[in-house]
Amino acid sequence: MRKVLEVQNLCTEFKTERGMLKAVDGVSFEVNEGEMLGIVGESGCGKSVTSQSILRLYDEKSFVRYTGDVLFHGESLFSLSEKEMENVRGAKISMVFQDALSSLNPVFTVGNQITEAILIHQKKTKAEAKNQAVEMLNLVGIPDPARRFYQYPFELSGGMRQRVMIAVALACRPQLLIADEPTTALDVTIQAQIMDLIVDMNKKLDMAVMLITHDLAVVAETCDRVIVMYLGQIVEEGGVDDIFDHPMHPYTVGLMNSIPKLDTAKGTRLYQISGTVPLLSQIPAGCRFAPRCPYATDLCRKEMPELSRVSDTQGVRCHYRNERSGGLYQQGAGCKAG
Amino acid sequence: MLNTNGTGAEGAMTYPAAQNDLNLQRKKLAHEQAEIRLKKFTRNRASVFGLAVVTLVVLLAVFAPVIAMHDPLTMNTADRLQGISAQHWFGTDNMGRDVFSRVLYGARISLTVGFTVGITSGLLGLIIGLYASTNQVADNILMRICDGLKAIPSTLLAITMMAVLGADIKNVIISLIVVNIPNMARLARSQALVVREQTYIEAMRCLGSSRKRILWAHVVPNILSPMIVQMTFVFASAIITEAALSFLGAGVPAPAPSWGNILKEGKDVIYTAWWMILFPGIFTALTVLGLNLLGDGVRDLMDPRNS
Amino acid sequence: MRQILLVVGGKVMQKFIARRLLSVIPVVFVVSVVIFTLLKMVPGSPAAAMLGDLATADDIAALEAKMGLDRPLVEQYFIWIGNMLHGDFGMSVVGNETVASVVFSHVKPTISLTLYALVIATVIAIPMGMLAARKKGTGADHAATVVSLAGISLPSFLFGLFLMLIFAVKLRIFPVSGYVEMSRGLWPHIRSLTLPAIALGFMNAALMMRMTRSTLLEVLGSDYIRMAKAKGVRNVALVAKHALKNSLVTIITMIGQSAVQMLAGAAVVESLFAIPGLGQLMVNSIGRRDYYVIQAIVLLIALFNVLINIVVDLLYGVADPRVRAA
Repeated sequence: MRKVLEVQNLCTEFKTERGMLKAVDGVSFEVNEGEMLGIVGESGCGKSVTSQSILRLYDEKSFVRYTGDVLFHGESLFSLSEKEMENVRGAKISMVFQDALSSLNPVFTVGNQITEAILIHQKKTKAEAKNQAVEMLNLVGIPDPARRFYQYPFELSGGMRQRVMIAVALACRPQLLIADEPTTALDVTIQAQIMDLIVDMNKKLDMAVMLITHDLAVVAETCDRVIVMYLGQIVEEGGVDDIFDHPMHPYTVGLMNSIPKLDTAKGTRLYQISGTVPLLSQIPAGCRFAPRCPYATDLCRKEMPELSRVSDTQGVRCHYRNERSGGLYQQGAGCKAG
Repeated sequence: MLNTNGTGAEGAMTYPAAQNDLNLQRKKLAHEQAEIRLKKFTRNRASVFGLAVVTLVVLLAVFAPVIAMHDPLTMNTADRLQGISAQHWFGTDNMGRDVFSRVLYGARISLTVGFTVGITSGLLGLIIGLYASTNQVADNILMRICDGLKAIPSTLLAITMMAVLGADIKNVIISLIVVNIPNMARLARSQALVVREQTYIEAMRCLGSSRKRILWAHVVPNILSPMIVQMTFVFASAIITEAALSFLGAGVPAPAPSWGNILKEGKDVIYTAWWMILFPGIFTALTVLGLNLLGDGVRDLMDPRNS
Repeated sequence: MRQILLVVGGKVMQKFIARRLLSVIPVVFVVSVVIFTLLKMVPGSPAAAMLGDLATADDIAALEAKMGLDRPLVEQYFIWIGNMLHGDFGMSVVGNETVASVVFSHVKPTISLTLYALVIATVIAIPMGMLAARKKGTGADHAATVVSLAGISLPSFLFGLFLMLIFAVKLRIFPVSGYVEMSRGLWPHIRSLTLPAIALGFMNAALMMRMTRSTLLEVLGSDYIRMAKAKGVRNVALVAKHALKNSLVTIITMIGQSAVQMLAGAAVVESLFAIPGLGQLMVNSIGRRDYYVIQAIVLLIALFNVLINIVVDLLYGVADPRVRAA
């Protein structure tokens, strides 16, 4: 399988009043053609920053600094000029965001926003672009697309707006779609519809999808591979079966245990990972999860573990990964700390 | 263990003690909050500059009799239109009067007019706006009247009123108050309406608070800050308008040393006596600038979004 | 363009316009009442003023009856309105002219001056505001802020005086005062209006620059700008097309308000530079106690204000589809 995207040791720093803050620290991963990669983590772990760094959406002149590289089909994105980058955005790599109401320009019609994307990247006449746009609206499942073309975002329901945003993103048939929490702001039933749409597009258009979310259930249902992030780093990665059947990192285990299950005995307390995510300006030395990890030792607090493979498909960032092959998907199971 | 009427098992002793404690805590909290506000204010250099300028002008005005070296009204035609000198720091005007003294006394006029207009239009606007926010019918009538008044540009309305009432400092103040009430009333009304919509007001009504109590204990304190900020700006604009009116001859009558009057006389001799334009002009501009900066600073302070 | 016409002609727009015109009536009514009342408060009799010192009491009484000044106030009000609707605004104290013709002969200089000032203000303010927004936090931005603060604190007549001092008296580039009609040459006309227009426009330019900058900054931080960037929209188009269109409502309001403020400020500036426009007419009329003229001018300007507000509201409807639907 060919690699569509390869992120190499990406670091993203922001200039703030308190100095440079590293929101993403040494993240490396790949996305293969046609696959669905899920990136999970709590708010503030750096998943959105990673995706926006890939498209270089932040203001590079004044307050962001990138290190590392991002390769798209082998070609470095960070060495492109701004003009060349504009050609990549929307045409080769597209992005959809969480809130469709605020992400669609309120004073332009829905159709206009799709045709704009087409006219920027493809040599078409206005009429051709319009037809293509209507087709796109149809493809994403909007009824009566020819009429909807002339409507404004505020005239549509939440689910339809999200479909429009997907139509805008896919209008030029990109090879990679980054979906940043596309369903978080929607009702549960609409969530399911939108996820079905994304999976459908993934198959129909043979397009890779990077799905960023904090909803593990969605990831389990739709993704091929999963990356778990914490405080700007990847703490675990692997195939979806690997992660859900035998999670290795205590954080991942904690996340899994936090999901209420149908067969839990009545009256059992819901599991919580103790503590809260620290501020970026107060990142602990050593393993970043140590303060909240039930198995942390002095080694953990002193030295940062490396992300390393435990099998062909799974990798973990933990000093005690070898003590836990066999899986730990039970509450309270400890590791034989050394 | 407190009983429901606030007395402890030991009798009357417990209640006052607890109350005292509470008051102490409240004072401490208020003190802390005031300190934080002061720190935030001092960090904003522009508003500190504004405060400094305004304070300076106020001091100059208050101590004018002490600082000024001549009487502002004494004419001395032998010395007319003299430039800057050791005796006349700002030169003399077309009647031989000392411009420096006139500018200082002029500050008194400007500050008096500005302050009075600011406070009075604020208070009246507050009352009108509050009343309008409680009563639908009154609201419609009062707001239509305000809209109508606002349709006439303020300077023109002031000029017209002065034409009707006659040139006198009292009438200047009255005209400017009338000109500024509509905006103040609108502000008070819309802020009051916003506060009323808040859920905590609803909660208080459910708990049985009377409307009057809600109005005075809750609505008014919350709208006071934007009103005070606006009053500062009205202060500034009143100074400008008074100067404009005097400049046109429709304001404080000569020979009173209003800055506008000095400018008016200065314009006639602009080719020879540039000092009559420069000094009152700078004073006016700086005072207004100071007030604007101060108002901006206070507004930033009150904005809960700035932490 | 075609889209704008479609919008303006559409049904939604027509309802919008109708509703707006209706809401104007109470305001116009209040304005007329306020002006009528104010003028009625003037001490002394206008008839006496018109006839001069030598008139006898009988003459005055006769003129008053003829002018309808002995009727009850309410009736006088309606007569006044009725007359105005027929174009009769009364007689001026000066010579034998009707108020209408006196006012009419003073309108052109004021319109020229106000337009000139508005153009200066807009042409300076909007590009500078855009620049300050793009270069936020840099030296250029700070300089612009300082200039705009100065502008807000300098009233037009004061700035006009300073300008006069520097450019007319000391440097002698522009005339100190006086007005040259357009028929005598375009350049002399403009030259005579330049200092006054700058004086009038500066304060509003400062205000507008501040507003443009803050609106653009707010808009540029929006999610839809981020989305537009993510779909490949060029940087220039982001500001000039996407951000600007969303800021139009604020910018239109600004220009409308400035137009009205300038019309009012023109009064003082015209007196200062001896431009024979409505402002100077107003000031002179106060001295002459020519109340009907004053009345007519104030009414005219207030109505103009109302008109501008309506036009601005209409333009909102064109610029922002959400407003149309409401």
